[in-house]
Amino acid sequence: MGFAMMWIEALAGAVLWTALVLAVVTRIERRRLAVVLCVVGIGGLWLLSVLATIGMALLAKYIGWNLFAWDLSWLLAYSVGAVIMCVVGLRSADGDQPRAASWPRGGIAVAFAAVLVLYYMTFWNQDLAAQSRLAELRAEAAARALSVAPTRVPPDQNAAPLYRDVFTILSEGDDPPERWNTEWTRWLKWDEPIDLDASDPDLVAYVKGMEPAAALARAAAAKPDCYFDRDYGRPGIDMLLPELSRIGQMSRLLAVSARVKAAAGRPDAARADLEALFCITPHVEQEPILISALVAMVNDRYAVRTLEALLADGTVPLTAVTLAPTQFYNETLPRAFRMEEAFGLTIFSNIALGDPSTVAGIQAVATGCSGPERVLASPLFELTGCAAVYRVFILPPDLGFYVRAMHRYQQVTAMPYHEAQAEWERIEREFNRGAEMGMCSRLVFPALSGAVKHAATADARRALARLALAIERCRAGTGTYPESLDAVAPAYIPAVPRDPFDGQPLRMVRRDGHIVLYSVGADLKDDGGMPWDDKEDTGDLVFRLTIPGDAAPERDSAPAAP
Amino acid sequence: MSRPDLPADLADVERRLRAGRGPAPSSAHRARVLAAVGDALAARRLPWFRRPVVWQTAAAAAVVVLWANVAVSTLGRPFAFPSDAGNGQALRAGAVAIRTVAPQLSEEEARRQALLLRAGAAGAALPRSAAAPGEGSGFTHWKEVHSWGSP
Amino acid sequence: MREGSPDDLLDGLVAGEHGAFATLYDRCGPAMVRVAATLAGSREEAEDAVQDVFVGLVRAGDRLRTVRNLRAYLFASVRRAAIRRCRGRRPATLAAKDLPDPASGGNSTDGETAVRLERALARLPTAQREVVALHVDGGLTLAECAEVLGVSANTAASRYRYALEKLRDALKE
Repeated sequence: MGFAMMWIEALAGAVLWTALVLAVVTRIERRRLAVVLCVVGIGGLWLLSVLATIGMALLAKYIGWNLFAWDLSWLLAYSVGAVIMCVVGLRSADGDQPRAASWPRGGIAVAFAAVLVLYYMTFWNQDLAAQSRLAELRAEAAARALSVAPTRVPPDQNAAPLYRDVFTILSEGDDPPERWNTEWTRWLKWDEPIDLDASDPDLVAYVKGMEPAAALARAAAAKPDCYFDRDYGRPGIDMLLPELSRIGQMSRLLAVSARVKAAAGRPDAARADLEALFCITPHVEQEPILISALVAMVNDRYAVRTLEALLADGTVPLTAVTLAPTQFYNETLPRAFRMEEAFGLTIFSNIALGDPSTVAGIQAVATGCSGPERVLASPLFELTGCAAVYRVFILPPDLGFYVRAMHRYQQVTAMPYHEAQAEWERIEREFNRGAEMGMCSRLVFPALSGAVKHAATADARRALARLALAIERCRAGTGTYPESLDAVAPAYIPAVPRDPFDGQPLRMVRRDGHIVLYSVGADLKDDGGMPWDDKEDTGDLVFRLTIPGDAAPERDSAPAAP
Repeated sequence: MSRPDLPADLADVERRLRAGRGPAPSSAHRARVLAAVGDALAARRLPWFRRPVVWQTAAAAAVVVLWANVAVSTLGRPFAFPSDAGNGQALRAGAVAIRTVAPQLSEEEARRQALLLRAGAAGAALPRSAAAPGEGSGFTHWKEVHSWGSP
Repeated sequence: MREGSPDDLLDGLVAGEHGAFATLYDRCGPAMVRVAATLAGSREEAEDAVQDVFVGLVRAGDRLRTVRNLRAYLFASVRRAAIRRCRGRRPATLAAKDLPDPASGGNSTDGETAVRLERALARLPTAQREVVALHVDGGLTLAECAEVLGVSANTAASRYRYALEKLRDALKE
């Protein structure tokens, strides 16, 4: 309704302006001056309208085609109106003076001013309505955030206070040797040779010095739940990052601690560290924020890597370790996407309302942008009233695009990953390669196709780890490693876990004295268990079990169902 | 007197035109005009602050200023100072920290995540779970006006 | 300075002397009314237009000092005021009551001719009618008419000649 009113008022104002110009120029004696003023006054307005329409067509990718349609219709209507006005006004009433010379200039000017005021008031009302809607949007965003926020847990079941103590010890303790900064990655990276020297004196001293932190971490991991008191309605960077960085440090500590203890002949302690690592994953993963989900995936990767190393070591009894499957892709990510949407809607509101701190933030984000979204980062955006123009004309389609796109993300993550592949590729093509997307959406919309692959990869790793433990139980029960996975399920695991990438059961091959369990990986190609190559972006996700000589069954090797 | 360069017929027409052309003003016209002149002269002699045109101009200017003020206040915060550069730096630092804990994210995505995590920086009336008040902006009418208790 | 020229009154007009305005009216007022009547089509409108011009002179104040030819300025003001009054519409022929009494100086034929002349004058194009009014009713020279109308002297002379020719043709009908 507001658009229609503004359309009519703008048309009336333009026609009155045309009439005013005609009334003025037909009274001017000097013909040349009259012609120039007529061309500038009427032609100039028409030319501006044409340029605006062309501009809207060029920017339709960012602001939607709706505005272009309104503008084009207005241009056509004004063109007709201006032609009629000129024909009527310039025609001589008595073969002498043009009719427009007798039009009352003062009256037309007053009417023109009145229409301008009316247009402004309509625009003002539209802006107020937009600001009101934005305020509602913030409340909706906060409600959405709270809908996925974890619930409080009783203090005796909450691991968070213990984790905080761990973080305090880590922050006050000695930093690990600097040379390890580059070596953490090699020790804990997937598909690298296991070359950690667990008897390195520096490493041993570090693990020993950090034992109080590791003990607290084990106690925290044993708690059934974890609840960090956060204000999800008003998130801030400081809310998360200090804890997440300490979680990473804690994970690395437990991972190397398990390896060092296994090398030192302390198998039970090593197993306890490994189990703690796996228990940390759900504590971190249940936080509905994307960064937390990614940290949980990294923690789980450390855990699986450590499991592989301890299984290869052979001295740590692990058949009693049970692992639940993870649902990073189907549960963790959708939860994080809902929170992303809540944050995004709040940012939308902040941007549209010209909040200075958000504008400063956008300037940092917009450095990599090349489209008109950069205007949102300009301090003049609010000062010059562009924010009001954005709120009234551009915000609705922009916001609509964002909401539809986030909804699409959530719909796709409800499907199994192997069924959603084509859709993710389509999304990446459409959203990430300059397709039609609103100005603010371009700044706020997350590029999550990478995070989706990481989630599927993390689920695949966890599935491989579960399968590996089932094979270990089979070996402990029968004395030999199975020749095929049919011997493992359903005796030692209800079913062979499915590969999230293709929906088929995980695979097993024997090679070079190893049993290689593998998932086809993100390239969806069965490479026969060849390890993933980051540079080539191809290969399989593998979990290697070393085949020693014939191993005696363990005493407690009953095939326990996980 | 007819113009000498006109032909005779045109000169005749001119002569007829000049013969008693046009109405004379009414008898009261002179007095009316001079009375109007007198009033105008009296108004001219008024000090500037008693002249109506001065007050009319002042009223028009006041309307314009009032309109501008209302327009400016309803369209946002036009008197806001340029945005605090420190917030941008904090966001860039946050993006770096995010990439440290979540290296799977690209630089661009890390900056975007840092921006999203600043969603709460501009205070608003939002339900929250009894956490301490977060950051507020520098403008009073954006600060939280409601405080909802914990669930 | 021409006889009857109002230029000698300029100082008094600028100074706001009531007497100067009275003298100006006596010298130019009736001619101004006649010109305005021809342009506006009625005596009442013409008188109001002349009154507007005099009030405008008072309000002009010191700006009058920049006027080179007060007579031309006066009649240009009268012309604008008359046009404003009739808002560009074609003025009706002066009503019979506004025409000079034909019995005062002529016979009934002259009176009938005057009416026909007046009708023909009202039918003239505006540009030509203005020249006739200024030159015949106002007593301005054609050069002064050109200055008032903002055209060249030749143009003013041409318009006047064409106007006379049309009036002549109208009288022959």
